Amino acid sequence: MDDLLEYERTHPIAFASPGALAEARLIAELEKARCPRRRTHRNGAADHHKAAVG
Amino acid sequence: MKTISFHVEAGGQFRPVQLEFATEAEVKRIRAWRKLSPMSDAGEFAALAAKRWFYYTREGATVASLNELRAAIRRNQRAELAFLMVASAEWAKRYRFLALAYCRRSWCHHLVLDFLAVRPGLSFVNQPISGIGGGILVSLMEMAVALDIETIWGETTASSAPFYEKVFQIRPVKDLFIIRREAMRGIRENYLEDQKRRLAQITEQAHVA
Repeated sequence: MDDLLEYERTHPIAFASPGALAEARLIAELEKARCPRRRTHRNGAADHHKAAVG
Repeated sequence: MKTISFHVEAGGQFRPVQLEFATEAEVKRIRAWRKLSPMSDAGEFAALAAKRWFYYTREGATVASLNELRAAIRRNQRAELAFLMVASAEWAKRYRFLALAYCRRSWCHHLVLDFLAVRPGLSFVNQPISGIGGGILVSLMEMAVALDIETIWGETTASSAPFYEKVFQIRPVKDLFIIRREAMRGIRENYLEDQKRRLAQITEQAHVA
């Protein structure tokens, strides 16, 4: 256990199964593709558009 | 079994941590880790685990309590169900959550560990908090035994394998760990014995000081 505690003190504990990570990234991409308006607003493009119209 | 508890070392003492099923509000808080720590793996994994949880929730394939898990299994023995476990502690209130574990109950009643992340930069009285990762794994084994689950498994990477080797006391762990029920009991017993020994050491040091 000393070994384990020392490991936890000196290493970040952040692990993902490669399969789960790939699936989660795919879900994230799918959601981005599904909500393009939200993305546009987030990166500030919507504000540019408003300014141009005004 | 409502809440699972384990102990970690923080500020030179053993302190209790609770591990619970996350509900929607808690998963939203976990998702925000990415903003707190945008460059860390933990931040990325927390956000992705939350996204995955919401995606499966829309499909009706998540549970937010042990009772829900048991009920879902009763309705469908072959149900594939996901859940997010979150660790928190009364004595570390400034962190709403200390760590997360995203798990699945597979169609054949195995427990699969998909994500394990401890919030980066945790400290208590200016000292690191250690033992959270190991404590979560041992707690998951306790839950598996309570649910009569035969096997826990997970895919590993070059960076996670050494950690799993230390927790499970199995060498070498390659790209997959598979822990059967008998081994779970043994690992848990060894872990608790070691904790007792650590606690005795800490108590002795406190007396000497």
